[in-house]
Amino acid sequence: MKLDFTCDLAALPEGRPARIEAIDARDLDLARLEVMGLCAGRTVEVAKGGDPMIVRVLGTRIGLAASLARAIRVRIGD
Amino acid sequence: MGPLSSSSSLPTPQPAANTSRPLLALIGNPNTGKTTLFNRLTGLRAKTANFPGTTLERRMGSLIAGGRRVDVMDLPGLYGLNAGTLEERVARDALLGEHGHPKPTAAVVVVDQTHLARNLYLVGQVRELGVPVLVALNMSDLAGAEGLKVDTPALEREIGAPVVAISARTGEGLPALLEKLEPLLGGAATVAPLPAALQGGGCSGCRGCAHSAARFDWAEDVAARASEGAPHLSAQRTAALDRVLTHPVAGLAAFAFVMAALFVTLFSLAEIPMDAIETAVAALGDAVGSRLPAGDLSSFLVDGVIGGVGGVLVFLPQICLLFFLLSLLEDSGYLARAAFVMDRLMGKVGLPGKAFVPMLSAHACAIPALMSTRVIEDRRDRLVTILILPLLTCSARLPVYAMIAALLFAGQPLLGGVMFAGAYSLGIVAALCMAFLFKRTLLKGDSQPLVLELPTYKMPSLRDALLSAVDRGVVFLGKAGSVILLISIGMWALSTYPKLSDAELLAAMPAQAREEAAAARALGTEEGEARAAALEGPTRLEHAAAGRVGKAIEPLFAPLGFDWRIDIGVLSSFAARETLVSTLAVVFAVGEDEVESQGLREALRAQKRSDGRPLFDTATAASLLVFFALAMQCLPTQAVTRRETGSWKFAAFQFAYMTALAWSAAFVTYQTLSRLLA
Repeated sequence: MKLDFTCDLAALPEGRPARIEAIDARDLDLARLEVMGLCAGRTVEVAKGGDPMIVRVLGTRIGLAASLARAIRVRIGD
Repeated sequence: MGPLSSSSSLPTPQPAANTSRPLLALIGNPNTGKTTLFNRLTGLRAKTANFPGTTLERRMGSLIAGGRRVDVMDLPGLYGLNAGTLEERVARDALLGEHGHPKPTAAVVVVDQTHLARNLYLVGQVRELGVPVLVALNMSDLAGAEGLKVDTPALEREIGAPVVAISARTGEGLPALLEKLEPLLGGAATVAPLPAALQGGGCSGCRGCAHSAARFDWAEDVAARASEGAPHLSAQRTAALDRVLTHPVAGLAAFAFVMAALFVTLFSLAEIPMDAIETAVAALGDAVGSRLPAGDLSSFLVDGVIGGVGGVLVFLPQICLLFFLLSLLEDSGYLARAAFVMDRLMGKVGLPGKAFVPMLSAHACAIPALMSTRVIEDRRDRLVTILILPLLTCSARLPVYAMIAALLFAGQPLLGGVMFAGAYSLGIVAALCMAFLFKRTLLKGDSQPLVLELPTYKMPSLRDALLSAVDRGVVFLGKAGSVILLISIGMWALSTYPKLSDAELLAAMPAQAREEAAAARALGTEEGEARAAALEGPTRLEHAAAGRVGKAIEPLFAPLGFDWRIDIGVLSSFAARETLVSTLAVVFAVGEDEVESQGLREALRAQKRSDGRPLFDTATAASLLVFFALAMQCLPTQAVTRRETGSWKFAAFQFAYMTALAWSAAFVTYQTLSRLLA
């Protein structure tokens, strides 16, 4: 069965890669997320859940507030 | 000193002023070893200055490439040039030579080759600006150890710019870097056409646009094509360490341990050079004083100039040591974890996790703490942190607390300890409450939710830490030191002038003191002379500007239980709070040698008010304690606040709110206690 569904990044299980679909945050936060590689099209993975949580994107670990993670929609699939 | 920088005997260059010299801009992501490379290339000749019109700092230095001297400008560590932050905007302007920045001849983008995809995003953006670029592929040693392979020629083709693998840590590859740099610095370098995937953007000023995604796609594609393997070893080690160090419970415990170690080291190690500086300054003062005839010149040199220089120098050990230790912590990767675990707790008062380290350092001294707030990116968060830092109990408050503890709880060490703990707590509670208040009123704004790179753990560089310590020390001496020295001389003048003539002095002295002084002087001994001078002290000070103002403001401080003599102490300690103890010693005619012993305490206890009640009753002593716990009373801090915020406005506000807070809290303390104890 092909797995294909979306959720927010805070709800993504640890260790499962997903693709960022869209982010709904203030402009300033969008810009801060974008330069770190947290923007539409990138593949992201939760390294450690919680608040703040640790995510991996572009081979780097990023500490991320759960409130921002909830604003990031990701698609698990492929 | 780097191996490449020792070949010069030229004087220190004045960068930017010399337009005929090529200018090299150094840019790169944070944690890529950019600073290490800068230090390697420029050695010890680097200077820190602000970018024009900002409080943002840049390091300038120079190197020699192909027999030619080249200025090097170190730009702030950045992930991108999207101009969302001040750093990004300034770096972009500096690369393009816009808004008054000199246009760089070429740019070196420092890339961490163990995180190639992430770093190539910035490379792409710098390429889009059209500046001649060289890519320094750093961390060769690490990549080698991990079995990571980067195909340099392939990378050069993909980027359209020369690429050199280096290790800034070991110095490997630096001669090759200079060699490849040379053609770019001639000014006639042709910039290769932009890679196709990066074309059609040209909009590095907008956010969230499709071009940014295209740039990331390009970065990931290029990294995948030109490199092989991944840094598994260091990634596993980092993940394992993070399981403990970012754990909600264990992480906090580790943080408490690291911070306690930092604080204890700072306090105990800085003490040694600080004592040495104080001893040396006192010895110098004595030497100068004994060679010059007593009079205005001697007093100016000894108390004004030498005392003032000592007052500046004494801060240096703590500043250098703090930045040395912080640089080690940052370089190791731990500081990011500290901010990570503190983020939620600090968020409750509206401050980011990064504000915690400055707040802890402020318990040693507010000045290095203020200088370390630069790690806080958000301007409002940084301003709030700067405003509240001086409320925390710095070491200069300790002599004042010790004096009050001796007054209130002589022979009761337990109660004295409780008083000290209470004073520390008062500072912390006041700082957190004011931060909460400022974030909701003056500097309103949601605290920025955490987005922070947690870099790979590595061994920190001692050399970079030393350079960072020296750099901070030089910045402090240059920018704040001169202001502090001027202020010290000003305070000396206020407590010396106008002077009384000998006849006026005798007439103004109380009869008993006059007789005692005459008797002491008649002994003809050095001790007798000192005793006579101590007895004349109160009258001299009373008639100097400081004393006159002290009397004038007596009504202002009367509700706190202070009389004009304590007011002189409050005024004279306006520049440095620990001065209270020595001023009260002068006011109450306690000789220099008696301050350390029981002399001062006995003298203070014996003082009576005009109505015959003791001056230092419990309510007054407690009120004095509360006032000194909360009042600004430190002009060096004000000078540094001005420097860090770029305006006297914040320094003035800081002084005003802290004085108002101190007065109100001391008023409540005195009025409550004097009624309860009556």
